[in-house]
Amino acid sequence: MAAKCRTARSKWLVGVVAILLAPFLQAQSPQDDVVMRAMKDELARSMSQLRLLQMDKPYFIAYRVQDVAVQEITATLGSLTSRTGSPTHNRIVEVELRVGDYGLDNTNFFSERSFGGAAMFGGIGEGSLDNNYSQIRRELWLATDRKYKQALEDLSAKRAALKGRSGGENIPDFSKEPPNTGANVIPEDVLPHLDELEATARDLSAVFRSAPEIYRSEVRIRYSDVYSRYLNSEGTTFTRSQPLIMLEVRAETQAPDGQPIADSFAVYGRDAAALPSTDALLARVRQMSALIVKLRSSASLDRYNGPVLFEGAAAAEIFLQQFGSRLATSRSPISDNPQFEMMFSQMFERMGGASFQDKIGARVLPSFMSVRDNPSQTLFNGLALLGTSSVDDDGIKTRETVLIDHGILKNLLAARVPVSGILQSTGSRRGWGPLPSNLFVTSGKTLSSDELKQELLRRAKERGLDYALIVRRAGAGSGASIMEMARQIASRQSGSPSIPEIYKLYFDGHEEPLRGVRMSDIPVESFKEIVATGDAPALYSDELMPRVSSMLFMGFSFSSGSGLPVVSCVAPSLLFEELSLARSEGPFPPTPVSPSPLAAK
Amino acid sequence: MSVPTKIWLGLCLLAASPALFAQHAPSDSVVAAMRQELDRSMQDLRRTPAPPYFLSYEITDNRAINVTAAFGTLISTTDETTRVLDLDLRVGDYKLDSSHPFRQDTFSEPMQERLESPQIPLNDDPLALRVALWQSTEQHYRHAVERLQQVQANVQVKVAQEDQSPDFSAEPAHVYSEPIADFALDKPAWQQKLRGATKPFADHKEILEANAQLDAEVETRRYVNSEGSEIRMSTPFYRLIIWATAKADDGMELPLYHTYMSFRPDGLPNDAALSADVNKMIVMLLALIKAPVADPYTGPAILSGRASGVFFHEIFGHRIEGQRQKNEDDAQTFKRKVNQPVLPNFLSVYSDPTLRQLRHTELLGYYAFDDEGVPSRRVTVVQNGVLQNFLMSRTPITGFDRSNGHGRHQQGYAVAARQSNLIVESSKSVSRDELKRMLIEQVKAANKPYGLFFDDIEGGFTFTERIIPNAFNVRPTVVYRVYPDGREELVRGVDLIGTPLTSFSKIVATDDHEEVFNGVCGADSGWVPVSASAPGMLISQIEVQRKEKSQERAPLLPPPPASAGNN
Repeated sequence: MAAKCRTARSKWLVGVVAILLAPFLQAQSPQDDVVMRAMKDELARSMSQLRLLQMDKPYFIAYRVQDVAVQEITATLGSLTSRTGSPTHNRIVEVELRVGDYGLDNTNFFSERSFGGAAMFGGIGEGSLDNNYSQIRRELWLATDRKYKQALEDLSAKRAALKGRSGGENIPDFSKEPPNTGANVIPEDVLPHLDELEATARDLSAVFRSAPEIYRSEVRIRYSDVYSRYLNSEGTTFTRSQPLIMLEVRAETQAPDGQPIADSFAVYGRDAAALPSTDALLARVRQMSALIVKLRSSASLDRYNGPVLFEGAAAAEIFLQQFGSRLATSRSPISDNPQFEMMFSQMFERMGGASFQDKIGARVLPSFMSVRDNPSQTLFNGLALLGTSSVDDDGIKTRETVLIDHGILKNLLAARVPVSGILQSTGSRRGWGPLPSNLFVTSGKTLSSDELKQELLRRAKERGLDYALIVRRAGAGSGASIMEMARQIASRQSGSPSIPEIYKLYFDGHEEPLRGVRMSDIPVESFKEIVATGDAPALYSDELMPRVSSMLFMGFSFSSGSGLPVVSCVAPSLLFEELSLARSEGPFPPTPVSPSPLAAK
Repeated sequence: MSVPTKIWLGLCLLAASPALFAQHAPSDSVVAAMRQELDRSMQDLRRTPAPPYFLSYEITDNRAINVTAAFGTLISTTDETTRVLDLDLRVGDYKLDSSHPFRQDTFSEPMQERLESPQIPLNDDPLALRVALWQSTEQHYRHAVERLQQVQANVQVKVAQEDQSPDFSAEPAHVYSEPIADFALDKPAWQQKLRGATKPFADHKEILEANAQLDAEVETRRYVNSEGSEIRMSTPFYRLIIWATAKADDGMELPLYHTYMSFRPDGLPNDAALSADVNKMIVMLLALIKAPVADPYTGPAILSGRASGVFFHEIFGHRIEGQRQKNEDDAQTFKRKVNQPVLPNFLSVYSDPTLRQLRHTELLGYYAFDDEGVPSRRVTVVQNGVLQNFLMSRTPITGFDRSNGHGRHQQGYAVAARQSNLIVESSKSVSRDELKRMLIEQVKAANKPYGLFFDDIEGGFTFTERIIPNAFNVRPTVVYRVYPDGREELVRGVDLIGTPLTSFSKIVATDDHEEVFNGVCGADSGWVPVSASAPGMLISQIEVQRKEKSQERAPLLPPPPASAGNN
């Protein structure tokens, strides 16, 4: 296909321009929107007429049309490395279709035969940007047809596979939910000024021109706006506009002994104004640059077992990494090949950690700590929370959910795929599966910042240690860590990334930064041994990936449109009674033969 | 044959030592930064225990606009500007270096070979550019040193290699600079044009897919190497593809393609011409879904000029690419055939990247220098049926120790010998009518009910499959049965199969109607623009099989109505 040769080529290409004056961004009330009308008409026709011979009719169809505008800017050393004139516009048309009934349908199943085949993605396609009634219906018609045929095949294969089995809990495949004619948002043209963003990217990246010790650096700004239209056969419908801007700064170098040193930070907002000011960002980049340079000549440590304080946003960061996806339900799919099925369950477990499903009623945090998910709060201390929405991606009204109450796990976040004990959605579908929106970690046992440090040192002394450890940034989040893993494999680097900001705190109160310290995967159990928390909660936001297994329930039909969902987490500083840390092991790559051209200027 | 314009040759400077060119270097700040960093790297790396003997940088600037429409509506418009670095650093020497292929099947090898490409600044800030070049040089150097050690071990452990030629050829340095090409495209006009072009397809429910895609780009390549070459080339490229698919009642999918390519935006068809072609496509698609399904058949056939061009590109062209004669995993069809007849004696084959056009048709395989800094030149591959030469990059093979300017790649891929403009000439041509008459004669002599005429082939952008060494499969889209009484009948579902050497020996005659096929060819070193020109050919025996058929039913519901309110 023609498209093939372009894709091959655009592998490296980032960012794009579209000249369109975004037809879908023009004010238009959602009701008389041509696209919505086409969706409504084709859905009605499909529900009433789509049927192959005497086979099952669809019992549920959902259409989702997403208008996605994306713009990406990258810069290094004061120069842009990709150029876009205006955002890329795409329209993604998706069909979710279920045959059978709520108790047993075609989902929650993968067939060895069709796995990985084109049919698996038959319900998703790129649609026309023009608001052309007949073309939109044509696209929905063909995608629904493909999806229906695939669903029939899957359902009969699933019934056959189930025949040979007995026992097990009989959990429905899909939850019944009341229809919701939810939020209707008229999108506004909120695209930020390209010139300003480019200037920001250039200015921030230019900071590293004066740091020849830093080998690579990059500033990336990604702006996206997703306008979703959703309609299902149960009568639920919504439209929603979700802009998001992310600014990320990365830098990497090596210590004289070759040990890689890398650091990055990302900030998110709903619009450019929600980001920190350029001056504040410049200060942060300068600080990051100075710390990396300092780390090159810093010491590492061999091994440490003792109390560790996660201070400020590092606490929210580590909590989100370890708890974020565990707080969502996860159902193991069945397959016509049991070996395949087992292999996949294990793989899914490894990616994102085991769900807390069998821990409901168990203690997972100390009794003075509680956690809730709140999708309706928009701000924390004047800072934007990124998980806020009045409806989830199934069109269900979102609501606050108490997840952990005084240390005891009470509930998990669910989409419409029931699991044992959690049969209804909590309004938490984000992308292809359930995820937290805004997590709030609260504590009944708080200490001031100074008191926390004193407590940390006291506990270190008890163990006969010469110093204690403070983590101020834990490193790439769990969403990013999957990307990081892929990057490492691609660039043949080994070892897990080091903690970017960790300090030794001595009894006289002075601190020393450490490099090359690795956290050997914090066991979730160690969170039970948190002994105290701070009194000033901080916010951390990061992309989080829904469980891969969830895709099988949603029939592989959901495109994330513009990246992974962003989850916000608010938590106080956390003092762990004991954690194990060790130095990253080599062998390290050799250091450069020539100095950076920046050094010789 | 038209005389190629070789003005560029006058600009080409052969120099013996790098010192010579400083004064002639083009005033291009990017080239200057590349030269500065390359010299510094070579100087610093020379002090290491395993210094590189060769280093080249190629920076490719690409501005690409893409407009896609379907059924009268716009699907997307993109406009991208990118800059990509390709770096070749070799440790060892010309005879045996770090690029030497391993003789074992390792899974991991291709994965390891691909080094992460750094982000290259788009503006011409020399310092930022040099930092990117430095990072990449250091990375490639480490990789090359490691790899050379593995190569040396591999050479010791394995049996002696059949082809003992060196890994790299020494070539003279060149300095050459083209002006940066102009690039202008009226995006709104093209969006409107493609909407208009694809709209008529929407009137036919049998047509399930109908797209038009415009790719317009200008590519500027800057190449600098440690032998002293400094080259800048800049070429615009415009391509329009229309493709549509109809589904027959039995589920068979019938695609049809129409491709236009040019170095100029006005080289693409105007609205009237486009509309006429679209209408022809619709008529053909509607005829195809009603056409009878072809039966397996062995017998005489005519390939149109376009079909012959694709046929030669696929079946002959890929087998004369130099490095394939060296790779011991390759079939090496022609390796021992030099100076022997490989085609009927009335056929000659050239590869000529110096040609911009053939008569009045532009040839997309034109370039002044290849991607290893070697000037392009016309290569006579086959003279009167006898194999003379291969297409050579700087990877020598036994008996051919120098490049002939055919080292090509897509940015991001390692260079390999590739085709450019493939031209098949015949000294035994007859008129079209005469060729058809000859076909009918053969049909009668072989006592066949009919012969076949292959009018069009799905090609150009479907050369995706890796070449299967000893067989080929070319996908015809428009095929007719030709009956002894001269009647022609359209058929569908034909796949052309066979083995190359036997097919070539069965070419009986050609017509005088030479046609050009411009396309983009994908192989080991990525996608490169090429052309293939050939006359129509009569082949005494070809073999066709039934095309693999889609098992998907046609859509269950009829197409939705075009306006709201009547479901």
